Amino acid sequence: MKIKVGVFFGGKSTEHEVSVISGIQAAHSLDKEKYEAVPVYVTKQGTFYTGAELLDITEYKDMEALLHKATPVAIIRDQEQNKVFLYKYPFGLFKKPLAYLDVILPVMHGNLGENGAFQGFFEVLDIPYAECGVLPSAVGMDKVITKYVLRSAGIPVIDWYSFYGHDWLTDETRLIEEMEEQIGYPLIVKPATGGSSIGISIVHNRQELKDGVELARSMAEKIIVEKLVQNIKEVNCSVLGDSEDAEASVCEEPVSSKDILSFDDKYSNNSTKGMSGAKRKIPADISAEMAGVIQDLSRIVFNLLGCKGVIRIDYIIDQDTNQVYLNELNTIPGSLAFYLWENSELTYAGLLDQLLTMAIRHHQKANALTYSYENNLFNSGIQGFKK
Amino acid sequence: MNLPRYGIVNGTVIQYDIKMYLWKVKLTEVKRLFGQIIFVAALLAGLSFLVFKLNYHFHMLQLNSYMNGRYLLWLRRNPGKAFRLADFLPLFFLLPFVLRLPAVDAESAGILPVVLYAAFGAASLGLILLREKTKAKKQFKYTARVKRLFTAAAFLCLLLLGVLWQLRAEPFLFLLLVGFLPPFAPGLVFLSNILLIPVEKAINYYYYRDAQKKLQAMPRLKVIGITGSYGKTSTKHIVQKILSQKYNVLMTPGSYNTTMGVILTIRQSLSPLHDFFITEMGAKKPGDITEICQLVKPAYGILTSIGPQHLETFQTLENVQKTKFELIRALPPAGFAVVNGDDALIAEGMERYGNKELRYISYGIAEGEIAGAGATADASVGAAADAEEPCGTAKTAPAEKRAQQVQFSAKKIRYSENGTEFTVVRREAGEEQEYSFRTGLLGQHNLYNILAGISLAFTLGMDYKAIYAGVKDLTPIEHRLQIKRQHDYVLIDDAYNANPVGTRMALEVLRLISGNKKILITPGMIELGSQEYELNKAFARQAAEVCDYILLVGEKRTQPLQDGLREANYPPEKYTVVKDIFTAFAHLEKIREKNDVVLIENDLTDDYNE
Repeated sequence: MKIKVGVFFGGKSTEHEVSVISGIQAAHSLDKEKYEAVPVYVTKQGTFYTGAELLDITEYKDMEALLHKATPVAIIRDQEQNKVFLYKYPFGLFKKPLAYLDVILPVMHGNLGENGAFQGFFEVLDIPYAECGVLPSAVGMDKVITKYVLRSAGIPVIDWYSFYGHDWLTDETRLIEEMEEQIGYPLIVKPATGGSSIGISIVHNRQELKDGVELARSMAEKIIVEKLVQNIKEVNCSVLGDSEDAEASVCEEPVSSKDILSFDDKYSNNSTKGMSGAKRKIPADISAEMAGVIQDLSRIVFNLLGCKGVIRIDYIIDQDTNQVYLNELNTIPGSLAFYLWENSELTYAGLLDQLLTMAIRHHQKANALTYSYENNLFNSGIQGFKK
Repeated sequence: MNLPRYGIVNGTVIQYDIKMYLWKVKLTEVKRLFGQIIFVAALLAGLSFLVFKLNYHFHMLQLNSYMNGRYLLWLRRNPGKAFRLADFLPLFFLLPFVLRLPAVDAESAGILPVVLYAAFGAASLGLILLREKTKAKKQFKYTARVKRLFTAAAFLCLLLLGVLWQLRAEPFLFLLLVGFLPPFAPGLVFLSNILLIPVEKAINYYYYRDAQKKLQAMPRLKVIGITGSYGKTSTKHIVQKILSQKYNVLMTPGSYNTTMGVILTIRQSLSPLHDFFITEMGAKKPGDITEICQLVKPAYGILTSIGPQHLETFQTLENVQKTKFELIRALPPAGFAVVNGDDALIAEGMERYGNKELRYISYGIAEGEIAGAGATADASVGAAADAEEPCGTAKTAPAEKRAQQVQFSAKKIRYSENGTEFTVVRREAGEEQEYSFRTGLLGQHNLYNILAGISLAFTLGMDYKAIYAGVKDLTPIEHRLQIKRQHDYVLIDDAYNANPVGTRMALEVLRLISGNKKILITPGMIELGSQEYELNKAFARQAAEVCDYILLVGEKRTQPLQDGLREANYPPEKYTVVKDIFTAFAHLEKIREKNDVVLIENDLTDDYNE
């Protein structure tokens, strides 16, 4: 009897395609002896589909034909059987489940899949799921909240200014003045939520700032503006584990021709390999001391937020001052950051096995599977039982 | 209606009184109908009483594990509860029919038969309503099996009624039959149970095959078997807690320790997510453990202790010993057995019944290591024991005498109100390693159980930090020396299945724990065979030394205890005999004071109520 792994990918997100690639990659990398992948593809509209054809990347060229072949499903928990089932939806005459899931591997990037919403759904389904829980996912997805939390814990982050899109409509002038006064150009403008680099712009003057905010405003409700680090080096580090034990990976250095790593750099070079296909230097071109600092910081942040599974933390080094800043948290990193672990004798299959084992154990721990007899004898006896 | 108005009687033409005639016809019809309704009502009332009686006896059968033999034993032990003279009361009203008194003759058509039917029905209903409702401690569960039993009983009753029908028997005979059945409900219970034997066998076989198939589909799953006369349930929980620090573990719930219990757990709860399946293996007769082992095929086994339990079915201690070793013999050479090295019967049994190719891991407590409350067994232990963090240190100190040969031995044991602190010495390949532990559990027997868990976990390769965390996280099991702090006194709940060793340990804990008065509530021990009287008397003598007040539950059953207390010259004003556990609690409320410590030792199920 193999462990049925519901591999969730796709989703209502700007990183939908990346997620599809990562998800299919993960499903094919599972240890076939121990696990059986049950694909659950979430369309851009949010409908769930299952079917073997969803694990073939070439099928996605003709989305309409693919969705015709695949089966739309409803995900339902059967309390009596203590199991989560996939039912064909709309229900047929005979409601027979298509499959059941033992554990879930969410490979969804950005928005709902990574911000705790799906994690909350899995909690309600009461099924073990890999990767971070609701809280670290939610904190990590909102760049403003990330900064508030990390700064209060003494983790270095770049100074920021944040506001809501609707404030911009009413208070544009005041906001611009405050930004210029408190931070000053050049600035970097980002949507506060959303994992990829889409919607990010570097601005040097008031006009560019206005354009940048307009762009970011269309992607998220909240906008974050930071001081641009001029002589920048970007370094990423992955952490694997849970609150009991966590390990930091080697550091990587993404390579980019432009100022910042754009979406095209990240994902378009080799569209079938996802994040693992992007250009990078492993290990990063930094001193051993700096790498040590980054790895320590990564473990601390991982523990602080109560993460589980594998995450990737992105740092910015100001090469003029040699100061390192934590830039971004990815609670479900592209390709699950497996390429950062390959050097430490951990295969992708091995990494997935660890993630799923951890998920199951944490779920069991949370539910504290102890069975005991209900006996009210002593309660009633103590109150003076009358016969 | 076209009735003749004239007729010829004895050659004379007479005129009928039509009105009178019609009225008479009607009256007879009404009377007959009324009689029929009362008859049917009486029949239904009688049947209700039968169902009521069957319900009670099926409950008792369930408490006796559906075993006719054990149920028979219960009947013989409790004739007063099983057979009641009052149950014959409804039959009394049928006596005139049986004696064929003219007043109830069918021809006479008097009102008396109807009155008697009504009395029969009323008596049956009255017996249901007036029967005292005792609160069941182990509720009757209406399982599928119970439903099958009721169906079988209904079938038997219908068969008997059908025979009467075929014989065109007189109406009162139906009532007679229905009235006779309730007093003999045990017979009906027996027959139903026997009738279902082939059905139950077929069902069980299906479940067995299903569980077996499920296990075969999980080659990665490792099964741990736990058996022993005492401590297996506690050990199971401890092993589960320790292993859960690193693995996904399933265990048989509660005291499910029979093949059917194991099958139920496998079918309901086992999933490919589990790394380990801990199976508690109970035995009431030789071969029971082999049967469970054939199903689950354990890789590792724990043998906690061997002692005089269930002697009624085992007859001799040697049979117990042999049966417990069935687990050891079922283990594969690649596995290992964890055994209590301090148990003389285990040590002896190893020679006779052991498995030569198997790896044995033994554990024990170093001699003279049990210290009193707060006292330090070894002055040098202070610093190590006070450290909050786990600290394992390599040491090659000479080991204590008896614990020399065991691989895991506990020493430096200290009891306090917070629990137990101890050090485990691990001997492996001539080297000794020491590890300190602390736990909230109390009592020497718990320490043994924890040692079994620690030995298994270390041998499986778990690291010390995880094992330490698991041991620290242990909480008492329901009704097993479980401390339940009440608002101004302490209750130690040790209600589950007392035995001679367990009761001694519990009294030791009662002695060690700080508090005002030490109060004991107990019905004594059962199922100890020929030694039952002596062991209970010894228990009373031990209790006399520790307790400031004793509540004995059950006048007859606690006779050995009462004798023991008298022999120990225990002051009569310091103990009371009460009817049941509920009365005991009511009495406790009268005598207890602030900071008293109350120990509940054993709490028998309903079928032992007096």
